[in-house]
Amino acid sequence: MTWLILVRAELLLLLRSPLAVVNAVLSPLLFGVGWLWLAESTGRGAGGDAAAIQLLLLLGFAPFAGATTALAARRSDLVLKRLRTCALPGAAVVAGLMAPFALLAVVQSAVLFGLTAAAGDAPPARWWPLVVAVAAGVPLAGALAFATAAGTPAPELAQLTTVPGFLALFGGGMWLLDAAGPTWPMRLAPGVPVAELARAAWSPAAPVWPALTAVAVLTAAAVGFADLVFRWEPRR
Amino acid sequence: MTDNVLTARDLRCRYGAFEAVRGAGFTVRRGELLCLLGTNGAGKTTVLDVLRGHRRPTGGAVRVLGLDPARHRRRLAPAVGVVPQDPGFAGALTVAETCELWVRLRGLRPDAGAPAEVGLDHRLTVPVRQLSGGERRRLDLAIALAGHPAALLLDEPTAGLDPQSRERAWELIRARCAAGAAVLLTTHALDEVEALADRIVLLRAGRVVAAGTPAEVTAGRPHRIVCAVPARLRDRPPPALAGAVAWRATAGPGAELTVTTPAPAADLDALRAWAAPAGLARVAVTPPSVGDLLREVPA
Repeated sequence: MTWLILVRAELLLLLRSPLAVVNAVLSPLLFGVGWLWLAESTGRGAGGDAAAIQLLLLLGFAPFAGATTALAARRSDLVLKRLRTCALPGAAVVAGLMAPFALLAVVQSAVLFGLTAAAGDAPPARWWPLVVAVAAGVPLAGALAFATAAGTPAPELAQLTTVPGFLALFGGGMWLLDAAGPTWPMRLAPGVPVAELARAAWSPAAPVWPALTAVAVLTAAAVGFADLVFRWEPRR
Repeated sequence: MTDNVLTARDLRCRYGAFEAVRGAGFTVRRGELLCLLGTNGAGKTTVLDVLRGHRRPTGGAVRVLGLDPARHRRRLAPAVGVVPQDPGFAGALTVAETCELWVRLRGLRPDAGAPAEVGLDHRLTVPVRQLSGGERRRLDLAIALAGHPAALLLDEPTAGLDPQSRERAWELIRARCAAGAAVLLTTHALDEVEALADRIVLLRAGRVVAAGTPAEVTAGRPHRIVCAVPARLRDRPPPALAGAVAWRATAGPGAELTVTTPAPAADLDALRAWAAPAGLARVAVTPPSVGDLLREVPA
């Protein structure tokens, strides 16, 4: 369990960075609660819709944008280069770097889903699609973070380079909310199948497999692409 | 069981079209310190990167404790201490946290005494970003020495250290060597070579151009005689010498004469006879050094 020492170090680094605390810890919670308040006030977008948007927000802020920034910072500090020669296998290094953000997403989603369920008139008909949405969404966001970090030469540039990925996640969710129903081409936008899974908790008849398949395909594609383009040391 | 801990045979390493290492070979035995020398870009760091398993060679073979370091990185990590050229620390972690992290990532148990060994025990709670360059180098050395590894790969380990810290680092490295560790060290500091090296390997453009003990690689190379001569001799040519003569004007009335010679005793006698009766002043005869060798090797 040597990789846990890396998880601990990354967690410390996350909590010691004021920027990361605001962006990855506080922002998703504030935006999530804000969306819920708006949905309850207007009577639109509550329940499954609120959960979907909340999940995409927290995936976008923590395991995607937060991890992209952290990876760019570790590469810039030459920590990633050094990690390549430690006793951990590559997969354990990746897991160690991503685990704090995954943990954060799980805790944040528990808080926000709990609030959404408590605030709405109807609690989710089934909880497991929410768990599946988080479990599938976190690896997808993490893989997108590695792919995006490949094109992020410095941590401060992450604010720019994460915009397309953030739009693909959050914009996809908004698209789904606005559409009559998801189609297969729509599911190519990463936010769509993740939002579809979250909404399924409030729609007992909604099928889960199409969205889950889409998330798996998108995650595999993002992992493959990241494996191809990710650099462990700065370009000289 | 062989005593060879680090072995490189016909090692080649290429970055795109550029071949950084072109057939380098050497061994480092238990308890031996080998200095890898060369100008910037000679291929020293690339050789170390291959030995630490960070890079795969494009040709030849390397073995660390009999294993291929690229394939057996995890197995070798506890047995190989590395001071990389660039530190690679996260600035927000403290000295103690950084030391524990990287020692454990080498597959070792935390070594609370490691920072004290390099004189960082009073900086344990300080974030690494607040350390000076020399202190970061010492932290690197502490991590490398933890667990008494069988091999040490040290890429300019004393760069940026103050004289006292350098002496302390040399003592630590010598002690580990005496305890049986095989040490491969790169440096540009000639006093470090003289203080530590059992053998040297000199690289030029990725090729080994000289190898052996400092005495072996400088054997047969010329001595240097430097002396001040009286003003009246400036216009009289010196006698025929075995070595080459060079004059340098000085602030005073005399001049400085340098003779680079393979026969220092005979040439010194000839110079003394030539300068009689006033004689030579400030005579210094310098034997050949590794520094001379390095200066003569073009980049």
